[in-house]
Amino acid sequence: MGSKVKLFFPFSLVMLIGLILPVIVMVIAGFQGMDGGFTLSNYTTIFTQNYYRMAIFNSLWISLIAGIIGLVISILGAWAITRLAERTQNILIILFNLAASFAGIPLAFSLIIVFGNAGIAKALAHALHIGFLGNFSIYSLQGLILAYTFFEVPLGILFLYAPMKEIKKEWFEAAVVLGANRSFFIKTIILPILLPNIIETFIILFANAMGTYETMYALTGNNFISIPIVIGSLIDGSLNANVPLACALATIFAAVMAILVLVGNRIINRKRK
Amino acid sequence: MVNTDNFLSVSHLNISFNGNTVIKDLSFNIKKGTLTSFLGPSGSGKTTVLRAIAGLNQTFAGQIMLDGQDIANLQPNQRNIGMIFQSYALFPNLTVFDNIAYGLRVQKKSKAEIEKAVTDMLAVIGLTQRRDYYPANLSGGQRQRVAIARSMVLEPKLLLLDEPLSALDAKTRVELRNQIKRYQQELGITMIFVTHDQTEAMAISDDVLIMSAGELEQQGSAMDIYANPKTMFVADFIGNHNVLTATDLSKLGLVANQTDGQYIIRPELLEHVMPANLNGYAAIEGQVVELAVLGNRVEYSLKTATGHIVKAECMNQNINFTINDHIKVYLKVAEIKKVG
Repeated sequence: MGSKVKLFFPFSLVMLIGLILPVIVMVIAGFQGMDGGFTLSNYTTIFTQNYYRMAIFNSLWISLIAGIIGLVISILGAWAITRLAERTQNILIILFNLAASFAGIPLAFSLIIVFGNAGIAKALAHALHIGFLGNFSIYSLQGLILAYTFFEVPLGILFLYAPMKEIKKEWFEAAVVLGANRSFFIKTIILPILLPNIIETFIILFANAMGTYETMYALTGNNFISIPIVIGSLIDGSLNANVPLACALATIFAAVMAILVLVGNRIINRKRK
Repeated sequence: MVNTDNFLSVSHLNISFNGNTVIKDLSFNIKKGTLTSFLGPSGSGKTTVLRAIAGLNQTFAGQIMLDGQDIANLQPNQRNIGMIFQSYALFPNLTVFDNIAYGLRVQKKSKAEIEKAVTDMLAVIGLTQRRDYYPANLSGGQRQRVAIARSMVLEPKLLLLDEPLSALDAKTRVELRNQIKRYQQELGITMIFVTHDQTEAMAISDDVLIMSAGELEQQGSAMDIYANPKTMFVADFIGNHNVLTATDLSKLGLVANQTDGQYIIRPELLEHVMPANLNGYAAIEGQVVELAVLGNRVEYSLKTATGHIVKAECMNQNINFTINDHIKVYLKVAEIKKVG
């Protein structure tokens, strides 16, 4: 047995048990009723009932907004980091690695301590009469977007830092000596080079936001519905336990992500060519 | 009217970084249509001066006149100067054609004009077949030719080449160096070529400007600088000369009663074959302690009875000695040059 086969076999086994089988089971279960028989009712329920449609809409909307805000801040942040001294860059990248992992319940509680009803920001806002800060609610859609941005930005910076570091100062100098100004250079050289990375990063940020469960749950409980929150409710029985319906919703979730990744890859491949 | 001898005129150039003066009161002129090399060791300030001329380093004091125009306060994109970088600085997302066309597109030239100019330039650099290649698919020499074409297509008044051959292998360096000289002669572009390689500078230049520690040591033709170095630094940097004091010359029996100072003897002027007429010649006798065959040339060193090491070289033919032999070499006394 060749060494490649020896490596491939255990890897395939892990993929089969950990990924392929669960997906197959999930897709099949999505077409089953509570009695185990074949049905399309899970999907008709999801697409006809406002509650489920709202969950899909909310998930897509908050992921889109958090993804775009995270991406814009990440582009600026990654670019800014490449302008710093090498040593400072290394320290910041370590910090961003830590910050990218700071999500879920710990992040939610940190934000509650700062922006919650009894939080530091609220107290300051009342004391200093800062209206917009006093009215800001961490338990709202805006609050959720703020929370998502907290873990999206470090992740986005980590993904964009490496390709931005590859941008050579000489390219700009060469362009300037050839008569170009900064905006022409950015339009013709920087954007085309970075665009595939920017698209890739957006897909990752969007997917990351789509799959976020703990942060949203810790901040809003079941008050704000999204696909992961509804799937959680359907499985743990806090709504009405309905695993096949949860599987159908999860299948839709997976399909949205698959379409996004496929479309993204197609654009990226075209740009890279 | 602009004097072609002062096509580029740099006067009293002073450049400092973080309080350290790296270019000290530098003044020089460059003739139109010539290739001038800035030669000097690393850190001598060659690239710093080049970047000041290009406008990439604008924190300096002094005057830079190009073709009668003061360019010191112009932006780099207003100077009509081309620049070639050591790292090529080709745009990786653009093909060879698009790289060369970049400056023409900035100037909003028509499609037909761009097509013609770039096609002509591709023919000049011999890369017509590679027009749709990306830089990543070219060799180092091809990339540098594209970079040169990208600048030359704009017909700049002055083309600056910042160590353009440093990243290339020895064979490609020689080929490209000759090509650069050919482009310069065919297109009549005034070029400044920065290098730390004296052979390269000697081979390619009409004029050589030698720099050390931010100061101009000497400017002149390659032959003039080699034959008549004005400072010990120049003598040491551009050739493998024998450097001797007046006392050394006396001890070696070459000449007596010289004034104090330092003298140089070029190694290739020491002949191991006795001349037919010894009038005006002196001889040095010693043991061959080093012998290096460099293809067509042989470098060797003699240790004299006085303990001096004398470097000599000759063509690799009719060598009638080997290591440890005692031989005599002959020198025209008039060839002994005082430095400075």
